[in-house]
Amino acid sequence: MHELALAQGMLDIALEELARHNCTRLKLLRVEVGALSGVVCESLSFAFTSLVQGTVHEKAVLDIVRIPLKLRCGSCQCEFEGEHGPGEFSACPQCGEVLGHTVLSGRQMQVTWLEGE
Amino acid sequence: MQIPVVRNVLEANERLASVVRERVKGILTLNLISSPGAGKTSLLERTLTDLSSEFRMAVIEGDLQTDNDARRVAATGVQAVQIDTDGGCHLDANQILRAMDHLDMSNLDILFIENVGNLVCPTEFDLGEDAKVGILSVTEGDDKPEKYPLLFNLAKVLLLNKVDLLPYVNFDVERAAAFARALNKDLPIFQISCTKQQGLRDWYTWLRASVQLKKTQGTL
Repeated sequence: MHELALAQGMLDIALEELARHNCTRLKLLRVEVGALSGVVCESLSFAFTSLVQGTVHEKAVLDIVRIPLKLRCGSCQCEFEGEHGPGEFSACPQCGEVLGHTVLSGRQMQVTWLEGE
Repeated sequence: MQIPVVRNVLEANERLASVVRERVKGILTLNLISSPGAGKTSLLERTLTDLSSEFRMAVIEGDLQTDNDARRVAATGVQAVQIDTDGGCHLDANQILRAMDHLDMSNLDILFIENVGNLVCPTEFDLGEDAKVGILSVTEGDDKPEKYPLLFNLAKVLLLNKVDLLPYVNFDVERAAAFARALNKDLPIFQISCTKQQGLRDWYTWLRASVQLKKTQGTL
């Protein structure tokens, strides 16, 4: 639901960087979206398309890179890729611990690459 | 031209959240997050009434439409300001800054921010608070912490509301607690009922300790 606000944030950053590099048209915008961020990628794409429609950036491509949830086990400290969903909430593959994992990555939402002209 | 960058999408909000943080020095600032109908406003009504002689408090109310909640809060005698998000699904730090201009912030002990009822979007937006307070009601189902892990990961306290209804609903407290603590091992969970006034003592104890921590250490 908040994807429009996020798309606006991404576009603001992109346009600021373009201006700094004397570009006027955005061609590609790459963002990393963590699995824990609660972002629906389809909604983000839709919001982005709606924002650039009718502007010089209309043909810009939004490239969303999904970053998996990486956890460190609260018990044996091993690092593993977590999942979440009913019945499969991130048990440690090594020792089976379910409680107290630390989130190493999967929360981020960042602009990582731009192409413009 | 190719331009490598690493910039947080929410950086504009986070800059404003730091401004909020500067303005709430010494004031315990709590961001209340829950689904619609979980009992945020009832919790506030109870808390404001019970602790009014002890603390100076204020409330920022986020609402999609209507000022029903703000009126309920104002009826307790505590100063309240309403942010009408006009359909927006979350509050952001800019709205909090503007709302604070309408509050007398001098000598406040606690500033409550009642976010828009929603377990997803409000969690992403830092409002400059000291703690996110998660509120989950037993009528919502015990799988909420599994479905919406981010709130339970970031919350500093979780209130399980409407526990007087436990005999009538299929809600496994242990299961909900286990998943809520999966990414937040030491999360305090208090079982409360605002309408029956049960279990609130633990919440008030947490509030008193947190007010002290904020005043003495500047953070929780």
